[in-house]
Amino acid sequence: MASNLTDKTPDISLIEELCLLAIDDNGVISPVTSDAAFGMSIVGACLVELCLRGRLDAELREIVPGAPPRAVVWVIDRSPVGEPALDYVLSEIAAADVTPVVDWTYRLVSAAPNLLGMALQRLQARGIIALQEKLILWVLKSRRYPVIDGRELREAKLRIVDILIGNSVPTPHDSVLIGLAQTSGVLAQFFSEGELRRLRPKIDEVSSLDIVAKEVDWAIGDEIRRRAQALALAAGAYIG
Amino acid sequence: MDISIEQRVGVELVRIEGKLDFQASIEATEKLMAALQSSPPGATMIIDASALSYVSSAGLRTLLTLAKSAQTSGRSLAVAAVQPSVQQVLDISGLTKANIFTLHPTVDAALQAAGAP
Repeated sequence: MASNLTDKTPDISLIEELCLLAIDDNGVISPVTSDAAFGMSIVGACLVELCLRGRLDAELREIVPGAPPRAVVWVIDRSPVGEPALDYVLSEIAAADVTPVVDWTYRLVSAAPNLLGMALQRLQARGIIALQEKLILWVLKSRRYPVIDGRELREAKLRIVDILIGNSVPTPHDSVLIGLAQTSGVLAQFFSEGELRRLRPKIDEVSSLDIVAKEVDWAIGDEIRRRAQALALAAGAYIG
Repeated sequence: MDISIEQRVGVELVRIEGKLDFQASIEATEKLMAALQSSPPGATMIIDASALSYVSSAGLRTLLTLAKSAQTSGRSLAVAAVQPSVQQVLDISGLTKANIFTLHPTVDAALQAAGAP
């Protein structure tokens, strides 16, 4: 029988937990948060959380005849959830028709820095992190977000370890958290390269067991491929 | 959506008919969790999906939540006779590869695997 560590869905949203995992022991936000992959993961966290809270539902639909089906998402309940980041995403989706998840991921990624800021503010308001601002050389402002008692962060890490190493079946929340933490680079914050390599088959097996999260993973992979191609083209033009 | 539950020795045989969308998944989660918890430890819940025509992302979460609950409480979950359209959703979500429940081509095969008479 599995441990009961991973039995309950935590009282913290996916976006908050993803942001929390991106904060290191010194309260410094990981540089990965400025990557497009993290921004898209933040959007994905909001989309899945809205599904978990009964505001959105999703299904697979054949959008282009003959092509593989894509996940589309639509609003089933427009009432706000009371979390600014989630309510922003909900209002955007409510104003549109049923739309592929991939399109939302690309469309909302420009709002990711604001969504991250809203999530950090909410973590502060809930007493989970603090905000420390310092001036460097009297001009440059540095921000740190030290974790206050660390319980939420510790629990998130323990749940992830319990699933990846202890063989627990993940909850829908944890399965998506592991997937988004992996694709955004946050998982590399607390697992070494070797550990990640060893855990890769298990991560692939249990992460993002959800059609919305799988689609966000796909969009992130596609974005990384496109950037790599653009870089290769630019390098070729430079050398040529 | 209609749900019927038949109790056999060591098995809860659940037949789901119709669509497992958001609304239906709320009812399904409630009924199936209650059935799972009332079954004896070590029992297998077999979902007969032969008349299940549609699963949305909410329905997938019902299956994952059930699988989680089954593991935690020392029971197991099997899904049988899945229609191709539902199989496609299970495949794309990764649930079929995740080894969190067993899939059987027929209800009889699932009953046999569970050792049900």
